[in-house]
Amino acid sequence: MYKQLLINVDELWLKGKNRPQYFKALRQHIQLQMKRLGQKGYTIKNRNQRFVLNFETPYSDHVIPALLKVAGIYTIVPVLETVSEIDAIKEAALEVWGDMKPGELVTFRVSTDRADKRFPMPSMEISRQIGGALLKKFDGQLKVELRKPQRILRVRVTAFGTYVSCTEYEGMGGLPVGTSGHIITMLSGGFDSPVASYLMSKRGCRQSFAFFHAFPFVGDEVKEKLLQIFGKLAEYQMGCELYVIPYGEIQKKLAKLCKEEYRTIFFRQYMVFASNLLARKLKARALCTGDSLGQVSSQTLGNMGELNKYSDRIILRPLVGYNKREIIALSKVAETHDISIIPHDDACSLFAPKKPIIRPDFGYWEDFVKENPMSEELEECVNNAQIYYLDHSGKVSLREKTF
Amino acid sequence: MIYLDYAATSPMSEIALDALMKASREFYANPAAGHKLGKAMQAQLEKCRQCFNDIFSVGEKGTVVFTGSATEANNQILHQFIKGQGTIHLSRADHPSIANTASWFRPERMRFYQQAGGTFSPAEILAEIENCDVAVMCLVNNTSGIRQNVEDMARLIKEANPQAWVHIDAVQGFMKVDCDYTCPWVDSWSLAAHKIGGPKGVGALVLKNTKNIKSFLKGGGQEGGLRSSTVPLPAIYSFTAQVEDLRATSQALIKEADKKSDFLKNFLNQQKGIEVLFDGQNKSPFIISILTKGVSSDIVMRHLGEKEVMVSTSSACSSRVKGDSAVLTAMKLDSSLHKNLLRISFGYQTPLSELETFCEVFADVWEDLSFLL
Repeated sequence: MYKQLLINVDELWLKGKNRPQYFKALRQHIQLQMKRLGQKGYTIKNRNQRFVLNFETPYSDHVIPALLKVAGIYTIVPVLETVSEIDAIKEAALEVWGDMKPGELVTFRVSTDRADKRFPMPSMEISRQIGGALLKKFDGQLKVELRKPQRILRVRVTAFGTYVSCTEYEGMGGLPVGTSGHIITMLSGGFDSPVASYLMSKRGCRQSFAFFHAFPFVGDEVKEKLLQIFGKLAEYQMGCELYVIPYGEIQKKLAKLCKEEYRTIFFRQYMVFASNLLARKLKARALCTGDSLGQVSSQTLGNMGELNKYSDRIILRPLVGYNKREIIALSKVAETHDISIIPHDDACSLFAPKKPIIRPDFGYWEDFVKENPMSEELEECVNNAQIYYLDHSGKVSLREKTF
Repeated sequence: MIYLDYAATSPMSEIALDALMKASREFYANPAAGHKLGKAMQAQLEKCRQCFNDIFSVGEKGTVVFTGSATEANNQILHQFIKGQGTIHLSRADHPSIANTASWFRPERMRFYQQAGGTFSPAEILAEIENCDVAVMCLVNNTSGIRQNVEDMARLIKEANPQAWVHIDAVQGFMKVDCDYTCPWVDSWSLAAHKIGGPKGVGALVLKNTKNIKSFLKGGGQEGGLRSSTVPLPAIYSFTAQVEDLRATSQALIKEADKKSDFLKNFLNQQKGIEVLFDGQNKSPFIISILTKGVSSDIVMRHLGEKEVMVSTSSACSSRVKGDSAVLTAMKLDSSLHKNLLRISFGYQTPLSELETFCEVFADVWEDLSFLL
């Protein structure tokens, strides 16, 4: 029945001069989501630092779930717009409230925000009058409860008109995608890195994804799983790329060259090198991983610090302080849980040293990296990456590299 | 490219290809049609059937039904016994088109026999045979390549219970091992054209006795009412041409295959960490299964694939994803080794030079992967 949505913006009060840019990014993302749904016949207007979407006919059921994936949105409120006159507002309130089943008992309250002070009636009085109209219509079925009501009817009186609503959806919050810059997210098939990506989408990062494919040590089934995860993470982005980087040869070389207990950490080290190389080519400013402090041997403070030392770019680790259980809970929010849980082959466990190094010899590490820069091999594997592009409509296509 | 997965399916022989082309051009009419051309097609079809009748000594009471696949033929036989009360004797070591039909039957009717080391034990099959409705055996197992003594087994079953239906899946063995196809104790056989160089999409169900056998499909009542579907005469014609040719040549081809098999086994036995399985048993020379110890065979398979050599594994899982193979469990192979099984299977047309190249490539790959051991 609703033909209007009010979209409140998160954290905008922080962004003085950058506001127009933030609104532009958010508007663009909302429009892309509508395009993806094939939703036509609507306008989007900025009204007092919030967006109002006006649809010609009631919007589809898919609109709200799509908007829940847009970073930067605080709340999404289906509203009925009316002229700012008390009788009209009453009528709108009754319509928004809907029908009640016989015998149904509900506690409620009316909450009014009178942003337009030209409206002659104070907000408390507006609430009282609207509440009275509801009590009169549903005699005996409603009870006013100010502190913890079952339903809240909201009235927003603005210079552009009055908006009446009685439900709202909590958005992703954070910052519009693209406003925080471009990063390379190193993706695996597990739980952590997809959640890390979700969190960085929430903080407004545009992302390109790097997956290090250990073919032929693992099969292409793993890649299929990664494509599924990529498809999910792309829902939070405005079109993005996945670089499937052939890494089997490098892993084999490393495994043969280094001491066995250093295998895992050096696999990561050279992934960081390759990711930096990719970041340089794509002009991305940071890397992102799913590291959580102490979770595995390569994620100790010492090893993380050492990996940082050899990275030209900052490595973002949004999960560093999260417990596994919290990460898994977040993966359900990000909707990556059900894909991550599918078992897959991974070359790290195949090559896994019997005793991975926890306190590495940093001298050996430094010498190894100096003696084996593998520049050519790294350049080659990044250049030979298969590039999958996912546009706003969710369609995957293979792309030629642009560098 | 070196293709060594003939046990999965084989490329078509020139003879079969020529026959398929010719028949597709000329024998396009429907053999069920009443017109003159249809009658000619029917005659052609019966000529094809006669070839199989001769090989299997199918008499008045029996017939050969051309099916879409051996899976269909196996299913059709087992489906006849859904309503019975007797026991169903089959093995999980055999092809899924046999093993997976178990879901049709009440569990208490099932008598799964093992094939420890790849060979069945007659005593196990004969247990409770007096109440048996149907017993199914494979002439050659598709994983081990072992040639089972199905003729003697059929006789033992029939002596104990003449009412039991004996069905032999001969897909991997037909024209690849010596066998007495006229064996009077066997009631039915299933065959597939594509395993012997014929076209895909055609198989045969050889019935020594058609009593009580019903069509699996409802339809036009083709194939004497035993298989409704428009008869794919070009494919059947091609299948038959290939079989006719092999009737004359297979003895010599099998002898050659024995030599090729010995050559491969010799090479593989010299590789450190490689164990040739089921060696020394009565086997089809065309199938060699090995264990790649210490390295998942799918890793070896993909590395060989990168060098354009195609072999197969029993399961697609390696280091992390566990999953025991029901086939290998039934052969009593330790489950820790399931992920190490690699199957190399060649065909009549595979020249020795290809196998030599295979050996070179395999040695390189195996050496390259030795760091994983």
